[in-house]
Order: sequence, then structure tokens, then C-alpha cells
Amino acid sequence: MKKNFGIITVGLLIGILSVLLVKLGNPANMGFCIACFIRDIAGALGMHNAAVVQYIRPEIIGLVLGSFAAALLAKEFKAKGGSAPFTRFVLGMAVMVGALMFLGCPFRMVLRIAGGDFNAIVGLVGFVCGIFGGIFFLNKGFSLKRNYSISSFEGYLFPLVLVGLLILAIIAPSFIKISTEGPGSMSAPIIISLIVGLFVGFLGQKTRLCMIGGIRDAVLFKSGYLLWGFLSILIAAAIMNFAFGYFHPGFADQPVAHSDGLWNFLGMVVVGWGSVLLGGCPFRQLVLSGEGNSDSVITIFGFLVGAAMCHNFALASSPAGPSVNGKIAVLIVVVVLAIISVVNSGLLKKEQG
Amino acid sequence: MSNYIILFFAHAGAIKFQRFMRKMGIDCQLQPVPRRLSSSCGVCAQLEYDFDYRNMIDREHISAIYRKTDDDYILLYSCE
Repeated sequence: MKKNFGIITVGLLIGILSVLLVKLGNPANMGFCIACFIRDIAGALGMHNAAVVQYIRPEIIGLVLGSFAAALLAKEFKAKGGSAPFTRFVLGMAVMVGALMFLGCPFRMVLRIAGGDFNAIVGLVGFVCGIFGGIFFLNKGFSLKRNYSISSFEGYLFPLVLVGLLILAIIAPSFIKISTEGPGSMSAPIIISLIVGLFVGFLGQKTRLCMIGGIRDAVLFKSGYLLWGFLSILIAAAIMNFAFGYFHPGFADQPVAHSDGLWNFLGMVVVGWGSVLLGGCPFRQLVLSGEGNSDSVITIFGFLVGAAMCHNFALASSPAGPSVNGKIAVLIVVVVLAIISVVNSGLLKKEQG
Repeated sequence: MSNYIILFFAHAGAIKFQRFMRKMGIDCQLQPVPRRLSSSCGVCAQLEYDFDYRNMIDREHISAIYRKTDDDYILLYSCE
């Protein structure tokens, strides 16, 4: 328990801050959601035209810059890349299709459960099944091959681009789209969102917090370290939701959610499976990008393009439920994940040989 | 007999390594990488081995090799 003290403390803090962000203006059960927030940024940049989800979320910028600062201070910043970048881009798009079917990344799934949204428990079951699927291929030898040291500037470039994005968020020129209604119009003050993002990104780098890592390491190594982070976010956020009167248990009428169990399940299967193949959940990808990992940066751009595609092609769910296009997309993505998993596990070679 | 911690670029490398070591009759445990050794969330192998660690170096899969002492880790090999 003593060695888990750090991650439990961090998890509790993140859970508390996540609900405080809702109190200060973020959408309900969405103090943090990496998928939703990247989708909002895609909208703000005009990559899609869903008017209700357009805003440059400072939390995302803060997470990367917080991790960047932590890595620099600890001399752990290392620019690396070259591990199957385009496969990672495609996996990023795939994970986003699953996340926007469910309406949340694994981080928001935890916050939704903490708010009493039982649909997210269905999502959690799918998430765990997806992780088991990914682990199956890891044990069959799945690998996107090693990364290599690259120029430091390559590692600095993404944080620099995000500083530029932050400036756009602050001065809000007319070409940046900002929702006037819907979830995109609901936000904590920029400075608060940024500071919380910085803090959480800093802690994320220190603890290696990862939503898939917890379940993966518990299954593979009987190591509960990262799982404690997952659980402590859940407990702290649930207590805060009770305190603020945000806890509404049930399936129906949950905020920014739908109650179609099958597609909540399948959406999170895709997120769990894809994230194991990527080596980390969307939150972890942001933290790794701050440490100089350009493969994670490519993955984040996969999320961004995937999010734009989801709204341009009507793949994303709404509180009314999943769309037909979205269901077809999730099934296609399952096939894509299967192909990527099999090809990169060397299973085809064994059959031929 | 020295106690080694082997870090890998990817999970698959660790699994291959473990299978190879077990074929040679050497017990080898996989576990999460200790935080003080790396900020990556990958997997490492721990084993007791009485040959020269340089026999284990595999540039495609192994990113670092440490010798574990009672209270520290001594870096023996790093690919960088």
C-alpha cells in the first residue's frame, strides 16, 4: 500500500479537480474527456461543422505542457519516434470512432461512472473486453517495432504548436469557432482549465497514470499500481459528485450520453483494444507527447482527424443514441483493428512458414 | 550470480526474451518498469544470470540493461 500512496493521492486529486471543473462550467461528467476535448478543438479549428462542439479546450494544452515541464525538470525529456507512425495515426482514428460512439474516452468513462451513469459501467465492461483482446495479441507477439532517438527540436515542436493554439484560444480571432450552445459552450474559465491541465499533466508524467495500463498490468503482472490511480479518481469524483448534488444514478437521461447498451459496449471495446495496441489510453498519449514522443503526437493527430471525420460523416453518437453511420463505422474499425493486430503479431508469417 | 533488470522497446521483445531465457532454463519474470528507471510504462524482465550481460544485448529489442543491487540500479547498457 505504501508504494501505491503516490498514485492514490494523485488519483484522488485528479478526481476532485475533474468535478471542480464541472462546478466551474465544464459539461456534466466531463471535467476531463480527452476524446471530447480533442473533438471540440477539431471543431474550433473548423475541421468539422458540428456547431455545439467547438471550443479550444485549454485542458488539453495544459496536459501536454504540464507533462513537458515535468519531463524537462526530471531530465526525462527524450525526443523519440519512428515506431510505425502511420499505423498509429490509423489506430488514433479508430480509437476516436469508438470513443465518440460511447461519448467519452476512458477518463470520462470513469467520471461518468462516478456521476452515477450506469451506461458507463456497460462501457467499462466493453473496455475491459477490448483490453483483453489487445493483450491476446500482445502475447502473440504484437509489436509496432521500436522507436529511435530523433532531433530534440522534433520533440519541442508539438508543445510549441500548442502554445500557439493557446494564444488562439485567448485572443479568439474570428476564424476560430466557439460554440454558443451545447457542450462546446460550457467551459470553466480559460485560466482555470489551463492550470488544472498543467497540474494534471505534470502529475500524469510523474505517475505514468494510464487508464488501460491499470487493467493491463493487473492482468499481465498482478500489479495493481496503475489500477489504484483509476480507482482513486473514481472514488474522489464520486464523493465530489455527491457533495455537489451531481450524482444521479441510472441509465436514462444521463448528461452527454446515450443508453444503447450494445453500442456503448462495442464503442469501448474498440477504445480498449486500440489503446492496448497503441501502448496507452488517450490521456497517456498526451503525456507521452509532452515527453518528446513523436509517435504519440502522430496518434493525437489521428484522434483529431478521426474526431473531425466522426462529425463530418455523422458517425458520432448524440444523447438520442448512436447513428447508423456510426454503427457501420465501429464494425469497420473492428475489422481494421483485427487486421492491424494480426499483421503486426507475425501470425500470418507463422501460417505461411 | 547477478540480478539484472532488462528494459525493452516493446512488449513483444520482452515476451520473446522471456521465452528464450526459459528455453535455456533461466527463470525470468516480467514486470512493469520501475519508475526510477524510466518514465515509460513498458515492461521489463528481471532475472538472475551468471554470464556476461553483453551476451544478452539485442539492439532490436533491448533498450537498457541494469544490475540491481540492494538499494540501487547500475546502468550497464543503454542503446542511446
